[in-house]
Amino acid sequence: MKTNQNADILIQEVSKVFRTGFGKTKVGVEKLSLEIPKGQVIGLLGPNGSGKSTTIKMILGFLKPTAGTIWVCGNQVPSQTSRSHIGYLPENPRFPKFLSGRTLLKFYGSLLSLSGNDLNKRVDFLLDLVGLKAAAEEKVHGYSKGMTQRLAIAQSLLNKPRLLIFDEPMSGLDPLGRKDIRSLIARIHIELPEATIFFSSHILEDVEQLCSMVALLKKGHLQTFCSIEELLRSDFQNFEVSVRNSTESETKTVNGTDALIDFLNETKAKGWLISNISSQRRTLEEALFRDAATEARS
Amino acid sequence: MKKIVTIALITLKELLHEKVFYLIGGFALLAVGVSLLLGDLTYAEQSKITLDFLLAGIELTSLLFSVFMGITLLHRELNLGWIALVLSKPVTRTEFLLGKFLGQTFVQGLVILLMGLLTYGLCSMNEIVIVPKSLFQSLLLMFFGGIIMSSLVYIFAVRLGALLAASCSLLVYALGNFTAGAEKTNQALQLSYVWMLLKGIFPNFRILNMKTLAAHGLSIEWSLVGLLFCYTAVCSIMYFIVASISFSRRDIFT
Repeated sequence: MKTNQNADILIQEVSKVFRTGFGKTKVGVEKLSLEIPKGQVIGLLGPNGSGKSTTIKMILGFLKPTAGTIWVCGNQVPSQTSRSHIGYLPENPRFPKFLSGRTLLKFYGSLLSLSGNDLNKRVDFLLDLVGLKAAAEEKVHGYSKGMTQRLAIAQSLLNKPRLLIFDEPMSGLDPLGRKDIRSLIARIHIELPEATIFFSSHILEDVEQLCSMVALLKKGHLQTFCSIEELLRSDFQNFEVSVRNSTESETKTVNGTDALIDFLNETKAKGWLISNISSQRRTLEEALFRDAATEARS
Repeated sequence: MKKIVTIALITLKELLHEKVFYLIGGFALLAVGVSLLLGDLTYAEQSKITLDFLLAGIELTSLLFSVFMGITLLHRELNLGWIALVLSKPVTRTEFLLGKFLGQTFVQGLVILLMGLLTYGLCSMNEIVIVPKSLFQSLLLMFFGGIIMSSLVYIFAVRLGALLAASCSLLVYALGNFTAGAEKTNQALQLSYVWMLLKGIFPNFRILNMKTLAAHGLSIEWSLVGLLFCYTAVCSIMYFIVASISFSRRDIFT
């Protein structure tokens, strides 16, 4: 099977069926095909049980697909080579509590074959990047949720990976913590412009702010995979139009450009004047809910 | 190799930070208690019985260490999700398992050595006759048994829950002792192919037991110790390979 050199992740017809006991099975992901291009920030969306974590764990080699193949940076999964390109941040990362932040980063660095001065410099740089320099010698036992998350991000960057996989990076954080992590991800994208950042999230606002593309999973199937712009494209756009005549005024919201043209023609025919037109860009949440509602109606 | 050593060193730190010194402390209390209880017996009995008790205590501690530390080490990694950060790096599951095993084995050796020194000190203080060579050989064979047991525990710990893994490990330990004991009393069994198969599967811990010899101040030839080391190596490698294959095939949900 051919691999696409322009794709950092290539998922081909992958299925995962879990055995739940007594001959019963549960489909985690079914015939999923996805090609993640290089250098993008991609959000993996979907409700609970949609297969987001299963997909991520198969990319990492933690779960073995029942069918299909996965390639990471041109290397078939599972392999050490494929993992050498990955930086991974698990959902709710936890560390051995008896070690300090610095010791932990050195430990993970050693597993990536880093050593000596290179490792020390990289650890110092990353502690600075994630804002943990002052707490570097403290045992992680005393770290807050936000600090633990930042340490986990630091360990994922040790090998300057080509592919960063973040599983729910903002999960369980307060608004300030979320903002910190969002800024950090944006900064990572600047520091490592070649790297692909693939992350799952429930928080659509974060995805909308950070991602260039989104993949939407539902019940183990890929529903949508497109750019954010495409998902929010103008034919779904709302316009708020204010019109008036000599005695009264009125504001109406119309959906889509065709409806806008019709309304404007109607207004003109009635002899009313248009005082204002403003476009209301849909949020990602609206786009996804609208798609879900459309699907439910059909 | 560097990755294995790194994981082994972290495992060593993990064990030293948590449970291991409680075991030693517990054993020390047990040893003192046993010595005091046996203080009223005659000199000749006290010497042998105290030493036998102390050695049995070390053996039991080593067995429990193998079973519970092995299971705890692996299950903590899997349940707390520490393993995700390790296995997302270019580390194979075999390297991970071997690192854990070596770290555990090293601490186990240290624990047996410390308890041996404690035994020696206690016996010397109570004027109990003890032959250093036979004590050392006895401790060494206990360590060999601990290595076999740890590798055996890994087979179950990588697949089963803690309670089931501990039960299965102790059952195999008991069966290993039983097969060796039954063969001793029933020579006809030696010719049975099924029996030979069972002997191949279940480790013979009896051949690693020289507590009684040590209590009587007797020692064995070093060449025999060498042979027993070979037996330990073969058994441990065989069990470890099975554990590693089983671990490599399982899904990790953490």
